[in-house]
Amino acid sequence: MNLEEQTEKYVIKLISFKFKPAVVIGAEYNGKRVFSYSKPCDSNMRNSLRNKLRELGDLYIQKNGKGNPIGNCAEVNVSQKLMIGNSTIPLDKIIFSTPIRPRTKQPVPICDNCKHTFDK
Amino acid sequence: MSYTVLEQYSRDIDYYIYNVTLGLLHFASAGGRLPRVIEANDIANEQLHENISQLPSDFKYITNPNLSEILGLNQLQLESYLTDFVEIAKKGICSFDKTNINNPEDQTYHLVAWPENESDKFWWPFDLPFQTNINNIILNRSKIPFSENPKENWTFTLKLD
Repeated sequence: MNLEEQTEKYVIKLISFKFKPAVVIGAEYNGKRVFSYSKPCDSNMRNSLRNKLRELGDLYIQKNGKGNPIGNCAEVNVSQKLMIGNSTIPLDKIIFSTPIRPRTKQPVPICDNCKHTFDK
Repeated sequence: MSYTVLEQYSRDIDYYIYNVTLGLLHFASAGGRLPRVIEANDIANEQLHENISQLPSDFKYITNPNLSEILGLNQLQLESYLTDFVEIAKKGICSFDKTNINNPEDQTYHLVAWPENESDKFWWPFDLPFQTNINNIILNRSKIPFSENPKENWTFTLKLD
C-alpha cells in the first residue's frame, strides 16, 4: 500500500469517528510513515522545524493577519510526528501525500506557509 | 464558549443559519472563518448539529448540476464529494459548502444539495438554540429574488460580523 492509499485509509478511520479536520495528510521519510491532521501544533518541537516556522512569524499567529495560523497546518503536525525519534530529518526531504479534506476527499493545495517551511 | 481562531482554521465545522423564507440552512466551513454569531455559540451549534444528525433521512434530494464546473471535479470525485451534503439534504435542509477551500478568508459558499419537497422543510423537532437571521450576515448575493433564481445558482458570501 502506498502513502496515498494509506492516507486515504486514515481519512476513512477519522470519518468513522465523525471527526472532520479541515485537512489530513501522510508523510514519509526513510521508510517511516505517519499521518496527522490540521490542529494547533505542540509548541515543544524540534529546533529545525521551530526555526523554519519562526521565519514566518510567531506560532499560532496569522502571517500579515491572513491565511492559516503558523503551526496549524497538517504538514507541520505530521512532520512533528515523523521527527519523533529522529530530529535530524531535513524538512525538504519529507515526502508528503496529497493533503485531503476528509469531508469531501478533495485535494487541498499546499499553503504559502508550508511551501516556505518545507521548500515545496 | 466560543470557537477559537485556531479551531476554526483547523476544523471543517458544520453550522446552521435560519431564514424565514429559506428555512434552516447548513454550511460546511472547510477550515474557514465562521460568522461571529456562530463563533460565539460553539456548544449550541454542536448540539444543533447533533440533533440534526439524529433526524430521519427521509427527504428526496436534488444535487447541484453545476458542481463539476464549480469545483473542477470528475464524476468519481464528485461521488465522494457529495456524501455529507446529501445526508443533510435528506434531513430536509439545504446544504452549502465553502467554494474556495484554499482561501480561509473567502466567505463564498455554493449550494450543493437540497430537499426536493420544500413544503416540509420548516419543521424540526427542537428549538433553535440561537438566532441567526441570514439577512444579517449575507454580504452579497444575486439580486434576483430566491423564488426566481434556480437553486443551482445560489451562491452566498457571508459577513463575519
